Amino acid sequence: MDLMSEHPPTQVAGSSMEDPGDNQPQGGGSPLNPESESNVSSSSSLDLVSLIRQHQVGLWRYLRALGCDSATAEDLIQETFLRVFCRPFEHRNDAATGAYLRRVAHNLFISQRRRASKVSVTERASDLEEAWTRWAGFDNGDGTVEALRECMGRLTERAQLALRKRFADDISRTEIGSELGISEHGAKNLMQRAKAQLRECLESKLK
Amino acid sequence: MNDQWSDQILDSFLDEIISGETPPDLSNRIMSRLAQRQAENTHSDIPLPEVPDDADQDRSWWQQVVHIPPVESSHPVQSSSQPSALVSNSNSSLKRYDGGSGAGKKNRQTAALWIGMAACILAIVALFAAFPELYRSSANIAKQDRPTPTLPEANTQKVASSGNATLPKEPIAPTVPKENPLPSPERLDINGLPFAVVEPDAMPTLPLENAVPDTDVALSDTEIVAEINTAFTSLWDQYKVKPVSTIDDKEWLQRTASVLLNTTPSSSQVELFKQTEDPNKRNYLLQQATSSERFSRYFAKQIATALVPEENEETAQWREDFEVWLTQNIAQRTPYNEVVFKLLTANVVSAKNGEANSGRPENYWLTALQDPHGHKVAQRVSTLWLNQSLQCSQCHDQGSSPETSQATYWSMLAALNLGEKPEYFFERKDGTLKAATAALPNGESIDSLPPEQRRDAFAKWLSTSPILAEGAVNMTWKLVFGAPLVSNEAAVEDPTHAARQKLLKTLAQQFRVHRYDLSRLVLWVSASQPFATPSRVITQRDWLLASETELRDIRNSENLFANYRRLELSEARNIPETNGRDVLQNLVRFEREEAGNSLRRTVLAQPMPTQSLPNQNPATLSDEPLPAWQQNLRLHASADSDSFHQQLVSRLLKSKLTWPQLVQHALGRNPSSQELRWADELLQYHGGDKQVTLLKLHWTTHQTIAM
Repeated sequence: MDLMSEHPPTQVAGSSMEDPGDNQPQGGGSPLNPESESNVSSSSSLDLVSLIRQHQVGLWRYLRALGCDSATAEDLIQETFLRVFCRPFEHRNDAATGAYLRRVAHNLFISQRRRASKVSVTERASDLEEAWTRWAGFDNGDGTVEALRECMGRLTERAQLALRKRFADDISRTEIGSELGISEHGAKNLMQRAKAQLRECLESKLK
Repeated sequence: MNDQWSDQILDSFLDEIISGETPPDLSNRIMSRLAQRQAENTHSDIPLPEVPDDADQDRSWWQQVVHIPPVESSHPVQSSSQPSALVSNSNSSLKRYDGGSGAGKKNRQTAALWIGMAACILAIVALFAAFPELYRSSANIAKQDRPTPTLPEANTQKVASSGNATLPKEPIAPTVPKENPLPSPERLDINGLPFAVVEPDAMPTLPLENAVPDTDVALSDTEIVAEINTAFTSLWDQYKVKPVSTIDDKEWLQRTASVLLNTTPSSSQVELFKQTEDPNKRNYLLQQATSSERFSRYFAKQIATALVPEENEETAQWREDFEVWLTQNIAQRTPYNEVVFKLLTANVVSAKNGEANSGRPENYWLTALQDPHGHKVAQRVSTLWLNQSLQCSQCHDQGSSPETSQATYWSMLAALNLGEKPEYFFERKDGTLKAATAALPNGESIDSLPPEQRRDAFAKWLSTSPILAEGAVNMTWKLVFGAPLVSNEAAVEDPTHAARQKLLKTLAQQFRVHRYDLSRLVLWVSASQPFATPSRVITQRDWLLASETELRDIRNSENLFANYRRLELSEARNIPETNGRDVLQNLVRFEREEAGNSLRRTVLAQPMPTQSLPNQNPATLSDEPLPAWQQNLRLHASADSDSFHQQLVSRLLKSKLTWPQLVQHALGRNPSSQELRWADELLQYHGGDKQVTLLKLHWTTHQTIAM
């Protein structure tokens, strides 16, 4: 008996001892054999490309929500797919694969942040996954982004301007306040109200 | 927390809309990089988590625990001889990776290895050719400063403690066996994402430098588990008993899930586990479970409950943060002695002053336990870390051992120096007052140190003392089995005490050698044979109708088999026995009901029954487990088992103490006004018999607050 053995036990039919577990895949498999790229048929390459195209948007948004800049998000997406493709992987369905890719991406993100000594060791990953599934779990966030775009149009111009300056120009609340002729606190309140309106609008649209 | 993530997600979407950034198409880039990487053939053959096949919809513990994510993994190659049982589903256009395909792969790996080595040699040669002074300086250094043998780097590291104090160093640390590397929590993916993302090289390495004598031999996990098994099988042989059988997979899984993870596996998980044919599956699952976040969280919660005696509005402010802090430490495998050191040397802060969220969570523990003399802290320290109950020593010597004397207790109080007074005086047996001298429990005086440095000195001593390890083993044993390995206050004489004490010392020694790794200690205990032996519910019927002999047998069976309680019965394990107030309330309620019954005095109410009660109606007894406080009462009520407590109460009654003071002594702490009213009520039910009332108060509440 070796308690510290890292060999996983023999897998049994219909199950896996190494189960990422967030999702419940059904249906077809898309296994890849990483050790002989010559065996990767053109059809499987095509499947890989379609798999990337299907999930890269969601991954990009997910990583951006985690706080990555665009370049880092792209690097991590690339590494995520490479990690997944280079090792045993079986595509069962989109939801399961999406969750699995997010998990790998998050792991890589944590590793990357850890190397930069920027991360605490605890993140309530389940909360994040729950929130992500709520807002973007089914279509990579396309629907939410579209709805948000519409909701954005309903805001007052002043609120839109404040948000634009905050997100696009990345300027401070003080500067936003001075440009709008209000205090920093006023700018903060304005943006908070705007975001609350957006969320309310979004929730009504996504019902 | 979800709101925070929702805000963050929506903010990023908003950013995308406003900034006009759109998700890029990376497919070509990824495919080209994939081709390149495959050509380099540099990837390792690490099995990644598979997508699950069953349609179980819940995010159950199984899925959370039994999973190894692909973060910086260094798993060995999964044996290709093991059948790949994940069957491809309908889409058969791609074949499943079967874990390795033999010679071609090995050839490529060998070639890549040779090419890599050749490239390294060429690079080194080129480097020295380009910078010849590099070689010369290296050679000179080698000649001039031939290094003398030094200690490993870990041995010279300092403790990152909360205060100025650091753990003392000892020169030699044993080597942990290489064949059993520490489990790797950083590779566990919990709840979908990693919790303890700590790489081994970033993990604390502090305990190597302390408290581990060079004569200690580090046993492997297998050997340590064998030590536990041998200890118990020897006892079974000695008493000519043996377990009926070992429990089956279903019961084992339920027990493990309950004890380690505080959950119940679903039927599909049980079925999955039963079908798994790997002979090592139990150990594998234990390893995964003890490395999981859920385990860390659950054990942190239990330890926090032991550390924080009662919940109130003030503790509620920081309790959650404190549990998170403990969870982090367990998940990161911070050495237990370092955690204790941090707790004892923490700064005392006040949550009332708005510092609840600004300071470190570990600071609030000491703050919460502050009282005018520091008794609360002293009692927790002694119970949890000194492996002995010193509650009684507050008022009198316990037996003849100097370790449990009144003077030792007050010396510890002065050493901890958490009271409000500059000096500590205690009343001796003869009624005289004596000033306490600050000293360590081993008798070493630290009275010469400035008061503010005494607690650090105490913490240093404790964190390197074998007693701490023994306390940790006892605590762990209780968390796993429901009772400590060696009870400090056995109501019935325990014939297995010597064997248990020996095992306690062995486990404590290994715990120290293995870096005070709490998760690993739990792993050893739960991998042992006693954990896998069948258990039996000792019901109320069993307890209350047992004759004295049978009662003794019940206690002996507990001592022999370690797991007499059905551990999976969470309701039985969650009886509020850590809170003395609840116990007292239950006792009063119980006596109140009894007073109203025609059966005026049951077996529980009889101070010294010698036989089972013939007039007890078995129909009124249930098959539910008897609460721990009632078990204590029943055990103490058996003949010749409790002379010590009776003598103590008799002595108290002969003194000039008032009734509230007597109650205080019986409880071992200051009673609240409500508790005094309950004591009065109990006294009435016993016709004013102070001895019986005080004994009951003592029996039921005294042991229950211990860990």
